[in-house]
Amino acid sequence: MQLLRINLAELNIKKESIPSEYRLFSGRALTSRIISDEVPGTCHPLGPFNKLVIANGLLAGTPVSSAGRISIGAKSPLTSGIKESNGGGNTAYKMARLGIRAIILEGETKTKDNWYILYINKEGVKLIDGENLVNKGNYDKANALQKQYGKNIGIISIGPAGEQLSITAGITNTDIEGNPSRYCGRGGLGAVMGSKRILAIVLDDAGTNPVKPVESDNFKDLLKEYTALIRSTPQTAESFPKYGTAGMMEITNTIGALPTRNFSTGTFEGAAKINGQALYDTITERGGEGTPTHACMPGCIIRCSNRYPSQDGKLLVSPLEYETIALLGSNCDIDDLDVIAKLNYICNDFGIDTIEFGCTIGVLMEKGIMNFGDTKEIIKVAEEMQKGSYLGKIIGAGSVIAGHIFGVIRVPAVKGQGMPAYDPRSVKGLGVSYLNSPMGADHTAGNTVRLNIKHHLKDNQVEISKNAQLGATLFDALGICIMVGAAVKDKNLLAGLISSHTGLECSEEILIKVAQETLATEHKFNESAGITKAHDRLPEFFYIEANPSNGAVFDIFDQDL
Amino acid sequence: MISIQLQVKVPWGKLEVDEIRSYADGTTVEKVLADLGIEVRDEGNYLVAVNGKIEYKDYIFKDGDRMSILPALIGG
Repeated sequence: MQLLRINLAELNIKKESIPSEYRLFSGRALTSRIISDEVPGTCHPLGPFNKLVIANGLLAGTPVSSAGRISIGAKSPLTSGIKESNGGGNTAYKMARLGIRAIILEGETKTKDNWYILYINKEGVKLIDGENLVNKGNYDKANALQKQYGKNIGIISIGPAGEQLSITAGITNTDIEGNPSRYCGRGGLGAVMGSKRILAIVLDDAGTNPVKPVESDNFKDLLKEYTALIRSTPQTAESFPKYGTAGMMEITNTIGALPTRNFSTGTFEGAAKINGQALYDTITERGGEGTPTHACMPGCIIRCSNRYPSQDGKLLVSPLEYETIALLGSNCDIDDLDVIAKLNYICNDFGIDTIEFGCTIGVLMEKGIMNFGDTKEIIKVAEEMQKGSYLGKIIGAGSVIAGHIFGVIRVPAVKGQGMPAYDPRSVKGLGVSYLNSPMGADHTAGNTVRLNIKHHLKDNQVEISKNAQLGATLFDALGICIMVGAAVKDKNLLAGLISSHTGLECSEEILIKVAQETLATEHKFNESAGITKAHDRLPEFFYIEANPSNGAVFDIFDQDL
Repeated sequence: MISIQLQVKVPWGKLEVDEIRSYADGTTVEKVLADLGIEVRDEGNYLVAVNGKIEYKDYIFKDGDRMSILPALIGG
């Protein structure tokens, strides 16, 4: 495996060996380590000194289920701190087949006249003129590239939002069918890619050899054990494949954690119309191109993704997931899956994070710019955003800036980033993760909701969050989907798979050390970027407004942390 | 006797209940779980909420309580 470094100032491309100190670093561990080592914390996120790092995991390209997450990292234009956002799709797999552990985009083009496509195949790497794809949505970009290079390529791309340096722009990856909708959505990393003038990275693995383990027999035995655990654990074997992540809504709505009408309460009257059961029923009744279970990456046996069809059975969007359903649904008082799916498609195509979009619309609704539940207006505004209206630009700048512009105090965001779909008053451990994770408000940085604990009480939540943050970092650092965590609790099994695949010494202790070092590195970077303990707070309203669903306020303060 | 509203929706084991049942005074979460055939060793796989708040197996029900049994999941 190698590192691929693209210097946009010189327009040159270098393949580098992985430094020995990075050999057990992959996924988030590698993106954060490279950024920490090479990017000054004080740099402008969209300037020449920031770098975009794209890394797969140590087990990418192997038959290990759910080990094909792609991590993308940079200094974030949204949080002003370090950011890693990971997604599914086929790109981590194809990078592995092409012998690439990470791609580093650095420098700044000498003029702002050109846009590029980075094309990688077994013969080599080249920058190609991308002018013909400028201002096209992600779906058109993918279609054009697939027409040119074949249906089986992997694509990492930005939409117009990234080109326009919108600080809530995401980066998308193609799924197994070539659908460009597996998002590394958070933190505005699409704007960083746009600032490097790269519209898309094409990964053409035609003619490459399969990725093979160093110790084949041992690897196969451990793989069998790993697969059996996933197939025998209720969550990964039954719940996720049927309801996907949308199954979460039953829990959050019951415990008062489902963001509703801009986080004004935690239970939604219309939840039964948009929850996991409703999603499953709608997809199965409509049939056609829809399916309630779908693998977002090659070889995934959990299959928690889906393909949501319109009434005539044609694919409307894939996937439709819990965070999107809650932020575009209950948080905006919308109980119509078709409307949510349409908004999801628009966001995917334009290249913007659905969580941030839902938070921002909630803020606008709170101000009365549009009414809660006004489905026509929200679609109109989303389409305006695509056309580049001033209101659209404000929405693209995220919930905090929209709040400043329209004078809204109740803005659910931490370190500039809109909050995912769990009310922190009702899931206090995750509330702690929102406020002191290096990633800003991010549910993937240390989610505690599945634990059998009293989520509405403050007892031990700081320690519980700390453990959850460490666990999430460990999985992110390996490029393994966090869903696997419900089934594979023995980290020595993961370590064994890594050892037998790579030939490197690995153990549970080593994996924990990598995760600890990664978190420490990220916090250190944030300090150098000017982020202090004073930024480790939730918005004020969570401390003083009781959640009407359960009477809870967020009562974990600076001195408790 | 007390009445407890049971709302159970756990995909595995095809466990779906939405009804009011009568129990003796002093009934705990553990007793109701046993009544539903849920083994305590499965504790990490589900959450029990009473009136919208997570409670443990030693919780003693009051008349009119609403008990929800939910799969332990995370979203994405």
